[in-house]
Amino acid sequence: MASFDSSDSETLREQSNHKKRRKIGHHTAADHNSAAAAVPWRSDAEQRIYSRRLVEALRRTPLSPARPRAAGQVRETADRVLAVAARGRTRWSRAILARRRKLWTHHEKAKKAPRNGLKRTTERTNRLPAVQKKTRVLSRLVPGCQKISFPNLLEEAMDYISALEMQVRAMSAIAELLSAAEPRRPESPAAR
Amino acid sequence: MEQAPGVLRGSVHDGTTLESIQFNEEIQGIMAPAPAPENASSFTALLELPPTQAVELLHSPDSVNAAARKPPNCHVSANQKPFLLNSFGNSGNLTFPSNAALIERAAKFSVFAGENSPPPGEARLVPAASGSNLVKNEPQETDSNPCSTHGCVSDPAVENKNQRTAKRKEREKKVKGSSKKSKGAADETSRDGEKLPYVHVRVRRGQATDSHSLAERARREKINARMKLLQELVPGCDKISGTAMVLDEIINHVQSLQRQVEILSMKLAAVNPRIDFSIDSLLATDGASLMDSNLPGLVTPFMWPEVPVNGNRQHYQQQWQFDAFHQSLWEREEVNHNFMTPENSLLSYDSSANSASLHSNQLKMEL
Repeated sequence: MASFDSSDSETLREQSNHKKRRKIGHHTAADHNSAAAAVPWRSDAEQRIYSRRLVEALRRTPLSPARPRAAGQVRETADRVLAVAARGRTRWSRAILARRRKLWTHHEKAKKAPRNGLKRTTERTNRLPAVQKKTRVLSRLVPGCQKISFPNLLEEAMDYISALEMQVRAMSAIAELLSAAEPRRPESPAAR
Repeated sequence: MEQAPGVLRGSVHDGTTLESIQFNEEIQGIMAPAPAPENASSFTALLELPPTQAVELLHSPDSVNAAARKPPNCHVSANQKPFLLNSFGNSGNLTFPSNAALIERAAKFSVFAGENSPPPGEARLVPAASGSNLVKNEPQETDSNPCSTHGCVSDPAVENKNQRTAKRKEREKKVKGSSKKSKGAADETSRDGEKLPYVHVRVRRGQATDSHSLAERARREKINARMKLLQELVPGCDKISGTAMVLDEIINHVQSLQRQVEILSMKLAAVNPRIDFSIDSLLATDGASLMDSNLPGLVTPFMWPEVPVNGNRQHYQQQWQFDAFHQSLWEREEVNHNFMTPENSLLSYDSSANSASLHSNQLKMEL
């Protein structure tokens, strides 16, 4: 496990340091081959590992006093820890991790770069405008899946949904623990 | 010319020796042109012009063919030429010098084929099976013919036969290809699967077999498999049929999950200041269950410099020593020394703290 993690972290750092696209090419090839070796998002062990890491990360982050920004920070932290738990095998996890590295301006520029057509799907069935519209919406929801093919998009969506479900489970458990651990107080603005 | 073979076929179909004797003269008339220039023209003309008839020929005497085809693989090839001669062989009356030689060759074939039934008996069988049998068997048997007759006889006549039948076989294939689209019998498709060395797809009824449609079908099947998995994942999607609706449900599900994450993160942000104080309870309840998780996670209590309370630190030390029994990846001293100071310097109270947390996550993963 240690060796595996070390190589994985190196690749993660490489991705964030160098251009992301080249490495993504490698990894998408690996993805197709190792699609079956997905993270078991449903298992309890994964959830515990995630909760643990999330709590630690939350402890470390300096939260701004303003509420909305703090919520955003928590959200980002949670997403990042989730992406780390994905072990870099999925596109959305790499996209989430790369969010931090790129400045937001760069990210938006890349988004707005004129890449009009979604993809040249040779599938006849996908030329229906309804399915295409929904495909586009889904690709915007799943991070980092703007320009991938339809079957790969479905694959990423599968993994993303399982990961999100685990995230919700873990975060609700933590929130419950924390709120249960607090000393009984009258309704404070924090409880809102 | 077409009619004569048709008549012959009909006659051979009846297949009694008496009738064969009756048709001697007609056969003689045909034998002259038939063996020598028994070129592809006559038979292919037969095949091309009435393809449907040829198809019928293929299909109708199926059972008979199956019975007769199996033993005499070589016999049929031999009988390509003297298919009528065998009838003569039965009667034994007519003696054409060439025919006799051919009959001997037929006997040779039977010997080499090593089949159990006696050659004349089989010879009798084959014409009884009808000329359509031969028309059909030729192309199929040419598969085995080159192999089996190779060692048998290197007769130029027979080789010519084989070449001609090879041509016929191709045309037969085309006919069969078209017939597949129209009829699509199971045995046809299985035979097609045998012939093509690369494609091992069972073509279903009415489906094309060219590479483009095959590739597209494979792609469609891939997509359908993934859609099925997604349907299982998303609750309430099993009943829905149709890609658009399923995609709708998937999108709704993802959006609802993301909204839940937002709400929970707001909750946690509100509760967060209490993490420090509640960490004992957290560790107590979750620690027991979380201990079997990765050790890297367990060592991080030492990395929190902002925990000023010494009592807490001692508590962590106890926890950590207890945990170290399970997994020991690091030296404790090393952890103490190495991680306290770098973490202190790394952690700063500005926006880079988050990247530092990420970095420490990576460090954890490294070790």
